[in-house]
Amino acid sequence: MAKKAGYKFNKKQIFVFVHIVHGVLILIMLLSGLFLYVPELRTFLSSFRAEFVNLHSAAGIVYMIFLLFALPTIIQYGRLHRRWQKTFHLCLQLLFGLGWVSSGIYLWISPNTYLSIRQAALFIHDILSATIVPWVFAHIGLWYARKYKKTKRIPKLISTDSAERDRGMMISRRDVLLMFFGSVVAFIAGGLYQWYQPLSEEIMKALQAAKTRGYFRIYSIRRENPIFERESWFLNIDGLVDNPSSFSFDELMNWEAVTFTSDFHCVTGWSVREVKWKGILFRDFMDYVMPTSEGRYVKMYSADQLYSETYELSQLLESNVILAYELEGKPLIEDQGAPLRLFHPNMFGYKSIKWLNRIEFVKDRGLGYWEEKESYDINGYLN
Amino acid sequence: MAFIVVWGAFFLSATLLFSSRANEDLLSLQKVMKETDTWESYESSQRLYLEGEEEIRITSLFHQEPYLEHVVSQVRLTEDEDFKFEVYFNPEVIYIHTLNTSQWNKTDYTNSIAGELEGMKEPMVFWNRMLNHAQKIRKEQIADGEDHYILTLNPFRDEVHGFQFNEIASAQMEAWVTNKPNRLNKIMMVMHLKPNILRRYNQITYTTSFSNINKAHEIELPEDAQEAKAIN
Repeated sequence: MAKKAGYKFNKKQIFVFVHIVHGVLILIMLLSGLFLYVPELRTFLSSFRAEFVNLHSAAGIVYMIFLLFALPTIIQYGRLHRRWQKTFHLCLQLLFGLGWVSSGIYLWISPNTYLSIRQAALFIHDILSATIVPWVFAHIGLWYARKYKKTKRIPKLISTDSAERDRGMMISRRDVLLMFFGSVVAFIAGGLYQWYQPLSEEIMKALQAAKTRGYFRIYSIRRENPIFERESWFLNIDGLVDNPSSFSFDELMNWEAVTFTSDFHCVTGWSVREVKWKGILFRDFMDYVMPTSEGRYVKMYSADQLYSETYELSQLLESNVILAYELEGKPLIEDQGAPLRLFHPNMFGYKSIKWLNRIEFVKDRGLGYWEEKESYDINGYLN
Repeated sequence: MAFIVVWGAFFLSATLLFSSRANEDLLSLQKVMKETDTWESYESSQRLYLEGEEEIRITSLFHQEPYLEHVVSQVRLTEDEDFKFEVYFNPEVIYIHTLNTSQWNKTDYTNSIAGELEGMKEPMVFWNRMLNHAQKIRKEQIADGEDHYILTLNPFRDEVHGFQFNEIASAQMEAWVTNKPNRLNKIMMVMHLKPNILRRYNQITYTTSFSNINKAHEIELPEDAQEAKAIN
């Protein structure tokens, strides 16, 4: 029995409280996580995306603290309810918690040293989130069915003799505990075993044939992507230039292109390694449009009529800064910013504006979309 | 039995999900080495030692935009005699200045000699090839945010600046990389050769070091280069 402010909570009330708080926290994390994962939802509340990131992280931290404090209660509950199904459910929730917390902390810290661990953490985080949803629905469904007597609980085997307790059952509580504990140990052992392996033949082959590792998560601030129509699309370059110009997509295709391989890093923590880019060097446009001496800054506009980014002209004259139109040997698709986007290999992805259709040379540097909304670093350099 | 299957599945999934530290370290090193291609300018020094005695020294000054590179090569001929020449790489023309005789020559990139000379100005081509021979890799963090990579290489045959690397018994490659930003400062290889009575050395050391990255000194083509004779 617990005592608080003169009122005595019984064990059941405490268990119910822990269960409800756990459910609410999971719900908050799933919903905020959904806004970070599903492109349409991300777009829906784009202005508040950063708040959702913070909310998600904060919920994760609260969840971790909650689990630590609730652990003795959970163990107590497990001892009182010795059905193997209950044990399975408790162990599964703890396993989810362990996976989310450990991978979430790694993603939150987001170290750049080992890309594979970051990608693995992201995968674990995603797969656990996807798995919990049907489990929760099944859990609620079972509770509902029992509440309205649509199903009967298997009679509890009451015995104080531990040898007899699980007699006659296919799976015992001890089996479940052993399976979960063993699985966690096996997973850690598998990771450590792999971590200490010598150089693999696959990696030696990959050294010679650059292979993409990781995957893109698509970000947009509008719900629908701008539509590219080849005949009516133009890239306009104006502002403080001697020769304001407009290029059709077919005209751009006649410009000399460069192809190179470079990693793509998102400021939110994920990366795609060894991405093959093709496009026109930004500096090749300089001789054509001839910016005036006052045009020291560049503002780029997206066809979504909302997103923009700003740069120092010198930043865009760095090597391999391109107006990209191909990725991995294929034309950009809508989600990737078709038909044209900037790619700056030394800056985070938010500086590589998608659906680019206007470049303006300006005297003063303003803020880009995320710099204005969320105080992102104006230059967005990786280091 | 069921336990073993479940545990095995978890063990296997972890091995598939994660990579080895050695693989990751090698990829990190390759990435840092590749990034030298994106440097706007740098100064480099390549040295080749036989049993600790300097045999070849090549220093270069590189600018990407506009493309210009100045390379000075010094090769030991005898105990007290060196062969020295310098090369200026322009986008269209290569100027060669033999320092021993003060003679200037020039050629374009269609001449076969251009291919020979170009090997001097791209030190990383050789080092990138060497990664393919890696057998083991170890990464250590040393003071001041610097990483030290140590690679044991499988025996190989290769060549750098006309110098053949044959009969290698063992080779160790080391690289020093500073963090934030990740930059390759120096790379070195020590090769131990199989004993051979016809050869006066059994150890070769080859190093490449970089400095003044993205802030290299300007390159000026000497006026005498205008008098250079074309090589046919």
